[in-house]
Amino acid sequence: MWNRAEATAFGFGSEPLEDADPFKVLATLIVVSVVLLSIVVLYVFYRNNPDGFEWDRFAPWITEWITSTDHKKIGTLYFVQGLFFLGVGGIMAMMIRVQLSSPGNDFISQDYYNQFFTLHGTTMIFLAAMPLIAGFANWIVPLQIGAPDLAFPRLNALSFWLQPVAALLIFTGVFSGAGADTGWTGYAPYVVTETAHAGVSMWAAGQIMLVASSTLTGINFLTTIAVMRAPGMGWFQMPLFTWSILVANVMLFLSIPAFGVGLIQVFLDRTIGTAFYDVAAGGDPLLWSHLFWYFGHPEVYVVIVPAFGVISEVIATSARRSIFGYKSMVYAMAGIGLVSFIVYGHHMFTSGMSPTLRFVTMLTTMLVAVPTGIKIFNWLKTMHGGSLVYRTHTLWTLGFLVTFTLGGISGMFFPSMGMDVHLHETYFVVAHFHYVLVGGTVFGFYAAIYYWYPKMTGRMLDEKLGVLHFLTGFISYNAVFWPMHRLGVIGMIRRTHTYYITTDDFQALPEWAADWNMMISVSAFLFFASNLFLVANMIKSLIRGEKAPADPWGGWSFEWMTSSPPPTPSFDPHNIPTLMNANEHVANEPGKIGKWFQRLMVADDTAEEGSH
Amino acid sequence: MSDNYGHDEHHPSPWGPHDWDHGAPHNSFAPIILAIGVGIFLLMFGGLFAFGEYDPSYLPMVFVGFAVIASAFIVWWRQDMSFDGTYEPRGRGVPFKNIQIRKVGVWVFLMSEMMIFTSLFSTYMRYRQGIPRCDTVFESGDWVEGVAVNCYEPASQLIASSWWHIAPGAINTFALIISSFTIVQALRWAHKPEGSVDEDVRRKRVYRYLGATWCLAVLFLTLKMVEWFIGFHVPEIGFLGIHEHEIHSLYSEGYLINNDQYQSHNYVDEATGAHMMANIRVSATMFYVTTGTHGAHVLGGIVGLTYLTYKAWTGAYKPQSAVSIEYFGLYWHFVDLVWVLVFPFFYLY
Repeated sequence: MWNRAEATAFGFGSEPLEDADPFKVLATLIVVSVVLLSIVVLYVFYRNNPDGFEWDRFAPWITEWITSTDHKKIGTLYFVQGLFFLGVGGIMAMMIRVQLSSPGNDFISQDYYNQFFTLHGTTMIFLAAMPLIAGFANWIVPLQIGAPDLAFPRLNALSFWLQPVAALLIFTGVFSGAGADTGWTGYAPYVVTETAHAGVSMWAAGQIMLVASSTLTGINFLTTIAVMRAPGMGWFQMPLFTWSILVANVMLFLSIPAFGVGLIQVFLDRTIGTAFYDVAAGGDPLLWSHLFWYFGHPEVYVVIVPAFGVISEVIATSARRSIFGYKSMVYAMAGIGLVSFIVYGHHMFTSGMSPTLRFVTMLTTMLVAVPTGIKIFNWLKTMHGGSLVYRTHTLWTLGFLVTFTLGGISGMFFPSMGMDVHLHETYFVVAHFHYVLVGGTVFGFYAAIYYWYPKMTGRMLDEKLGVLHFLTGFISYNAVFWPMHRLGVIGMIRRTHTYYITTDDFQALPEWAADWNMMISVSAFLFFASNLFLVANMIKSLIRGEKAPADPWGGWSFEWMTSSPPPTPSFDPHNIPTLMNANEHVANEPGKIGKWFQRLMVADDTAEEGSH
Repeated sequence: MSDNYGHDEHHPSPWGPHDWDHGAPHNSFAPIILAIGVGIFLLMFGGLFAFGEYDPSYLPMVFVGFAVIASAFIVWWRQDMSFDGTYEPRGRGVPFKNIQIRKVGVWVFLMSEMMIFTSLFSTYMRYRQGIPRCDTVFESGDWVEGVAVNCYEPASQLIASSWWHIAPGAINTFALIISSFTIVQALRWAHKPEGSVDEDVRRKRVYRYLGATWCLAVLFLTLKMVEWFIGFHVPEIGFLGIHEHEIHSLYSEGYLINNDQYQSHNYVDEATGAHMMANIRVSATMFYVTTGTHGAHVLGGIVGLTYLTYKAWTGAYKPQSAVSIEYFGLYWHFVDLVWVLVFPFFYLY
């Protein structure tokens, strides 16, 4: 009974669902989502203009949204895009789980399966996590540092609009039936061969656009945070979320060009026929791994460090005291940022890389645990002695602390080379990175949604639905990914479309593995469904949510000083707020590096201060 | 919204020109058009070439992509044309106090550009170190007639073979260095305080210096095309001792990304008359893509200079708006500096 998943859709005779073309299923689901999105857009318009639909009113309204350079509007657009693709990526994960629910299953063929997990990874990292982070960064960073807007609002709009177009390019393969089937890592030389599907070219092209988008975002945020802080706000008076965005953007910004160049090389190999990764001509596949992981490892910190920032904000507010060890938090984040560039070799332990380099990256990778441990300690110490207020965002934060710590501990198995060879390419890896990416980033940003949504929309979220979301989500989430550790240890291989328990195949697993996989699949569907609570909550809040005060949680950073939602521009450009109790000396006297910068860039002393 | 600080008292058009007295543009169609244009271009480029196969039926759509990108730039510049320097936001906190925000942005941008060229040079070092040179392989005798060997043939083998061959690259080097000088001259003239110079003289100097920079950049790309694809003819000049001969382009010498059967008169065994055949795809790829990436930056510079020159021609650059030329100048110096690295690594070594 374990080798076929059969389901009969009600009202459709006896045709089993397994005969459905997965691409049609997926494409239908995506089209349905797009239609729903359009309906939501029209509904939101209707809510604002209850008199009825008139083109004369709809046109300027929609024009405002697609041309706006306001950081809050762009933040909202990012946010909507991120949630939309979180859903799309989630649907793909569900298809994968249906396929894996029983051994030897054939719901999704091997060929389709490869495309599904490729797109699942690419979508979740680049089209869901990154836009969600960019959305909150757009919304909150200028508010937190007292800036009227970002430094380059039009470039910011460009960063956003590159993303949906890039998403279309990445998904062209799905609609044509020949999507990228390389895994999100796109390892050479397979990625440049004609055996890989035609969709790989557009998958690379779309990601080139995402690289451009991330670079522009990096320029924008680094400049904004460096130059537009309110008077009195020195580097060490910045809120920790702003610090985390600064560190994340420095990492992203210095690493993503390597990925961009690698993608351009792949794209050129696949189009005009260059020979960067053509093994027959002497091309080196390891070079791609180096370029990719030089970016790829900082990238996973780019998605987790902003979550650290969110957790620091939420924990400090909820514990009703300032964060414990502010400076050590900053140095820990900066330390993670620094170390992130020299650890990437641990992704390549089994690739035949130099043993010396393996040893070095083993040590540096273990080093990452130190700053992370400092952060965990500081969060616990902040709660200890504070008086914790249990709001939904606090619950997600506590959930984050548990799951992220577990993910961090399972992460410590990989740097030790001998262990890594055993666990390499198994579900243990899948369990680990889902524990840090879902239990870390996604939980962190769920906390951010519950924390900042009232600020963004001016309406409170429903606490009851929120707690329900947390309880169902947290339990089902752990039921999905915890068993994967054990499956990994007994050798269930990731990236393959099925597994066997009844043959003498070398991949054969013990019989209970099938039950565990079924349990994981069921839990995965529950986890997916639990997120509908969040969607329902947000929609309910938009329609008849309670009006939010300016500072519903008793936070004390600048964003809580503005009204909910904040005006445009967020602060009066001619009368920006001032951080009053700052150390004047620290805030106004440049240090040694600062003086060097000033000499380099020829500060114009004749100009009046901060003029506009 | 409760209070928007007089933000919406004017009615800015998302198509431009923008009213800069009220701060930066609030709305612009340029970003979404540019993103769609880039998307069309990449999608159609993927159809135009597939693994080196050329399919011209996609060509019109590639040009549509270009046209959409160009229209986005026109919208962007249309909003910027009215910028006269009264709105120039400056940094507030340390260490960038009173430094123009846009200048900081350009420096940060150059950091990422640096990483792009660093990655390309890493690739170059990997292949240059990892693949034996063709002349070494030839001399070692470790090859068989009729079977292509993988080896690295640096472009300098061809380019540095004679003074005539290297002439386009050498002229290009000096063209870029001189263009860095002319852009600074344009900045200097735009920067002279009001009253110290006749406004019409200023206008003429600025747009002529910018125009000169534009011409030098175009000269650079033209000579590159000559060197890659066209080649040139050296006439007979008796009293200088110059004899009539052809300088072949890299294209006609077979230095191509898809050439896996490269033959050169350098690799003929004089004793037996055997030809060594080489697969030089990786070395040609490295040469064309790295110098081509630099060329793309020059092309971007030409696009920017077209706008700057036109704006200078209208007399818009005054001391308070001169700093815009400086921002472009920073980028242009960077492109120049990269060439100073590319030239020795790909043309001489």
